[in-house]
Amino acid sequence: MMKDVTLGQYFGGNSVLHRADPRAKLLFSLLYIVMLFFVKSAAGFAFVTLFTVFLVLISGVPVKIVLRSVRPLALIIALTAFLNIFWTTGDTLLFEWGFIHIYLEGIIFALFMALRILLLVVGMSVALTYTTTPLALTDAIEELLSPLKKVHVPVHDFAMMMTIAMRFIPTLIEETDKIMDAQKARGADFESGGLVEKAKALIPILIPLFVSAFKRADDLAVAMECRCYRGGEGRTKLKELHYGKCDLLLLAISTVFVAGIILCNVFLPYISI
Amino acid sequence: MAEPFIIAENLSYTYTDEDGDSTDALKGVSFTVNAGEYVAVLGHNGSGKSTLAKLLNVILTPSGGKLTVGGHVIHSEMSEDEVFDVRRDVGMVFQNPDNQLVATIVEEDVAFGPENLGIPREEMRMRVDDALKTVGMYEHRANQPHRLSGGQKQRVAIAGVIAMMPKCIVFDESTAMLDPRGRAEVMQTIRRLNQDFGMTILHITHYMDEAVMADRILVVNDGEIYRDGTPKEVFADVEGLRRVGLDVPQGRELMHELSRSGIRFDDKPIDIEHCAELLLAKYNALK
Amino acid sequence: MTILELSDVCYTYDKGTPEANEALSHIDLKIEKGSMTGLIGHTGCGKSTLLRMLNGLLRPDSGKILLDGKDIWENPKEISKVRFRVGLVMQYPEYQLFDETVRADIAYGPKNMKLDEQEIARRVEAAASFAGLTPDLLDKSPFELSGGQKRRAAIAGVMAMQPEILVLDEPAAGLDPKGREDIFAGLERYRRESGATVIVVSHSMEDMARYCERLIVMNDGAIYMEGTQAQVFGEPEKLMQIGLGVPEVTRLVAKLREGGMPLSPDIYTVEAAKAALLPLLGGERA
Repeated sequence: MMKDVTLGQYFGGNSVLHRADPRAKLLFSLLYIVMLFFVKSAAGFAFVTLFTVFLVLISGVPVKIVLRSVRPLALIIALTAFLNIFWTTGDTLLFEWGFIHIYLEGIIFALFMALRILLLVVGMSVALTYTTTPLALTDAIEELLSPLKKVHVPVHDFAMMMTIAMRFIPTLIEETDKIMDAQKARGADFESGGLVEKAKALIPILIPLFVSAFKRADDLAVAMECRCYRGGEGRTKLKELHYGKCDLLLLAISTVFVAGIILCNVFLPYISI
Repeated sequence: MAEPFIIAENLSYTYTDEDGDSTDALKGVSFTVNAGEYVAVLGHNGSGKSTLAKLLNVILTPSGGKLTVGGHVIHSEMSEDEVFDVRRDVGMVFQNPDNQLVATIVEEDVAFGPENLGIPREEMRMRVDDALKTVGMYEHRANQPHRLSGGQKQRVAIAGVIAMMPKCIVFDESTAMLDPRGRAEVMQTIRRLNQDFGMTILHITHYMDEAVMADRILVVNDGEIYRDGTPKEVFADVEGLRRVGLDVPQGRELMHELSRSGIRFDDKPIDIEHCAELLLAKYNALK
Repeated sequence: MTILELSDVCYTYDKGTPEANEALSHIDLKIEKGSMTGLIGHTGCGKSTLLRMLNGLLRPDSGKILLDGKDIWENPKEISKVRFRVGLVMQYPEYQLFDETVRADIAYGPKNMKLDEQEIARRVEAAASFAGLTPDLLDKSPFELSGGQKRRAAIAGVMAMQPEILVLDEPAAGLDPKGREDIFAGLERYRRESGATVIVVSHSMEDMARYCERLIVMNDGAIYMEGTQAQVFGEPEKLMQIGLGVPEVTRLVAKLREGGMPLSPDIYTVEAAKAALLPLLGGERA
């Protein structure tokens, strides 16, 4: 059943990461991504790995669940590593066969790249997606971008669109399931045939899905108007974002993180790329 | 004396499609709904009953005649603020529970209307909690709407309207897509809103068993008001209702069938208790 | 003669995960050829899962589904052939309409069966007639039809495959009384004239009493009651325990019996009640 797919994969909890302000977490995540690309040496990678494990531990999200977010990317990670092994050149030739040359640098680079992607996914998922509801995330984006309102960027409308999209994704997934079942019951075959046949077989699913999505959009627009929606002006909010103690803690953690990476790069530059 | 909340005088509405063909959805209807009244609008699909609902909330504006809702005259040149005022007074619950919930969390959705009204946060918190308690969905406040049953979603939609504190709620076939349990939940909520909170209710439906619960029924057929009266008065005319594609309660139908075969009764009850009393009285008198 | 038999069918969604949810447990069921069977139960009782089993959209975890005595999963590659023999009309089936004309849409199923043009045309006409669609509607776009017409076009799309068993999940949901009546009367006519077996889900006990000779009541993924109308409606307390009831007229008759009128308890329709009451009240027999 596809309907249990939840966008953002929020995993409820009460950790520091859960309680921190989504804006702080968003900024922290950006910092985390940027810093990952500054890491150059083995010591640096070891430090970031330990740091990420630390994040996973304080988030309270079970390791099994965290690793689940890596699974869809396993192929990309493997492919990146694979390409880097063959494409990177260096000084220490380890293996040669025909046009294939494998260098020690290639292997190291491949390992670092794979580790970087892995850490990126794990770090982002515990710092953001597993510990922040999609709604809070949207609010955070709206708040952080709100200075742009002054130059007439429709920040509120954008955030509203995000919210609605997130609200309707599970509904539309469920609907796709139902339509597929209905057409299968009429003998539709989505598996066999060539590419053209397969594309053709999708028409009886896509058309009803679009028709229904438009109908829903129409209904929703009327329902929103009836609930007195007229854009972002004059609106209040049930939940307002506040920075708190947890955000200070997050700030402290970030400082340690940045300092750690700089120190590793400067003082322990062994096996670096 | 209750004062009128909705007054329709010779109200008409004409749809024009892309080819320029026009259809008269409402052909000059007149009726009044008093403040605090619970009125069911009964009619088959395409009878014009949903058009009526859309006019009350300025989704459509009248083609002719006059419509007054809560003191506001509805017309096509209303300013945005005037429309806003009407919508604050008249809440609307639609048919498809999935297509009216905006937010990904139940309480956020209930807050959507009050947020639009610019209600201060402390008061909003209270309104949201009260509304959720009124419909019995408070325990589900942190859930995601798509994980709820149809009846629960519809109750969340109702809470979203209640939190705006309107004077009147229009239910536009809000039970049509629900299973019996969901329908019962929603009907119970509607009755509570009317009885305990004195809210004016207009319930548009094609289920006669729901219409029976109202104080008064307006039967709409072919763009006209076909009957206007208490449930008992309206269901007295079994043949007439059948002609316009509607059902009557089975007890009433049975009594009607018997009277067609020459057995006379003094009254035309709609609930089975009264039907049974009359039938037993007749039987015992003969014995 | 039994056309469809389920023996010890079990099914669990998301098996092996923490969210595992047993939808069907040990279902045994026999459906007679040419009968019209009503399936009743609350949302979540396993009805929809059961229907998806019957035409092979879902495969049972254990147990067998026998169509004409043969296990439908004997050769999983041939499962689409089973779907032509057991036609399934889903809830709110109008969302399955997609083609340019109603005619082309109804022809989708027969085309997938690889029938020849003439046979397809013949079946489309026949199915449209059973579903109560007038010929002038066939060349319109399905999206121009009214709600009730869309529903009937979707039903015709499954009838056109001429399945031996037609299964419908709440075909009248959301329709007004006239629309309901048209759908059920059309199904009854289809069953009589084509000899097909019909299984229909409905929440309306009144409709069940009028059209279905056999009833199956499901609760919590299991068969709760099964039998003739008299066997099922004869135990109103048992139905009430799971929040279901008997037709209103049956409740009225029960009150009359309590009041001392000599009436049979198995009265489920207004017509039957009238026929039984007339002589007691001094009227002519209808």
